[in-house]
Amino acid sequence: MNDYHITENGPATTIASKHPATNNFFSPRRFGRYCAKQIHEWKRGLLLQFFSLAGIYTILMFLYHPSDGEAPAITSTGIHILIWFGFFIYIAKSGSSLAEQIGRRSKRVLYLAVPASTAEKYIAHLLWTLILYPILFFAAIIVAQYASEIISSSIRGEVFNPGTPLQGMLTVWNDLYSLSTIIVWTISNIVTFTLGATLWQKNSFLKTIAALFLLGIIIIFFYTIFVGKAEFGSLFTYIAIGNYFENFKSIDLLWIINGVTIIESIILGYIGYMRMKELEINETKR
Amino acid sequence: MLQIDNLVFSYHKKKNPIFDGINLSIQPGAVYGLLGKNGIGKSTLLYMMSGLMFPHKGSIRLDGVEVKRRLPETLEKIFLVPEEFDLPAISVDAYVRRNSVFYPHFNRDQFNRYLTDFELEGTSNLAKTSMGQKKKYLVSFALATNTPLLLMDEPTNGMDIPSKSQFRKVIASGMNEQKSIVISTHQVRDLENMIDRIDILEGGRLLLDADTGTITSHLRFVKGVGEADTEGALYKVSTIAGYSAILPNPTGEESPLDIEMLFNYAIEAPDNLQRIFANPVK
Repeated sequence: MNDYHITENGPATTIASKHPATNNFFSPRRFGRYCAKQIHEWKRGLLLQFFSLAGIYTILMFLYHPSDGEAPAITSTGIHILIWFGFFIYIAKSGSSLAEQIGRRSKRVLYLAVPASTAEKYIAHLLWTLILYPILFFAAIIVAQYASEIISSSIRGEVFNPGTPLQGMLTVWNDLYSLSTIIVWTISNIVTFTLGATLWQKNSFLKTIAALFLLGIIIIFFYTIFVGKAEFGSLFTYIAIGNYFENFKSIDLLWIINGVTIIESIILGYIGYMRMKELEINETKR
Repeated sequence: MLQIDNLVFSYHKKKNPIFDGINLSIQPGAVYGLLGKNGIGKSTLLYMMSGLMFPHKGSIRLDGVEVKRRLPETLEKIFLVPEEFDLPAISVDAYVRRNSVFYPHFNRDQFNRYLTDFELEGTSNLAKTSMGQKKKYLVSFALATNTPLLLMDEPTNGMDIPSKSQFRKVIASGMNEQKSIVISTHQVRDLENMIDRIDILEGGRLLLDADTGTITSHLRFVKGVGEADTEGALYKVSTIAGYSAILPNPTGEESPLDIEMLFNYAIEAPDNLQRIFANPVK
């Protein structure tokens, strides 16, 4: 009755029988393939991000260029603040970018159907945000550093002095506390905004910021009600040098805060993973 | 291969369940036509079969493994062609290279052959192609993966008339004994001469789950006949060319199956249809 003719598929059966047992949680080979697939699919978008960042920071460094023209723009404190501020915003936005893959039904279907484990998909996202996006960001800063100097020297006739790559930005490596804080806060930032992306797929970035803001207000509210501290500014003082921690040096306390942040990141990361595991196709067509 | 047991699912707790105890077994070597009206749950059932949605009660297992666990070893045995999807902004070649590695039985020669059948050429940006072309690329890729289970949700939507004929040809050439293909559609004519088994969803249950041979041995389909020839018809409709009707088939004589007429009959008299297949007319 039907048009088709049955064709034997012998080799496929043979291959199937020789196929080794599959590791369904994490396979480095499959993970590598999944990462390669994603990089390939995103390369146009990543290039666009790179040039956008380089362009924005070129303009900022050009505008912030010291008037004496001797020191490179990247050494100015204002630029440092803008770079670190931009970095954390960019990383948070990248954490939220998971929502773009799972937001629309038409994208989510193909995302979930890829034969890779949830752990591999989740770890890939975290790794991109932790490694790829920071590399892309600082590479754009280096480009901006040189481009702004070229523009300054050609338009304003200032001495071309780009300095060393990321000059003045790398002092964090000299101090174990600063380094660990930046890493811990970056990871915390990533897992928080990734969790936000699994909770809200529309305007995930803004909603996560709003949720964090709300959480902050709730904490302060409970603090003032139950701990009896009416003054807003006394919060940090109370925690840092108050009754409970008077035996600690402030640096010890900051290590504790780092530790707490790590634990919080693990918890939020696990919740994010479980959310991904339970992710389904949404009801609405789009 | 794929076993659905007592599937219950509802989008809203207060409303009637969209599936109310569905049982279905998908076996290799057959093309299944999943038919039903718009919004009856055909897409939902396909998403559940591929593990992208979870049942509220019951289970769906592929080779004994719950598909909702979405294990890689399960996902590499299933390919779903959704009704609507986005393809990445990369070339066909790059798409194939990056995605075929997840499917152990992918065959590049087959893929190229399907592209030829669809009269498609390589493109440098899949995202910029029309929906019909995207469908043809994905159907070609899906068949070339040689997954044991291939699910297609309204695959002919967005295809022009020649493409629908090409689609039938491609499905026919891509079918073999190790595969089972489930095609959901409300455009039943698109499946003509292509399917082995018909499943009709209606009112939260599977109204009919039978192979075409069983259907035509129970029912006789006649077209362009006079009114006198439709006496005792279970279903009949007047057309320009005369009457088309479904009649009981006491002799078991084979007649060409008219899926559209069967579907209309199933919707019009669901209980009668179920009774016929529960107690075949002799």
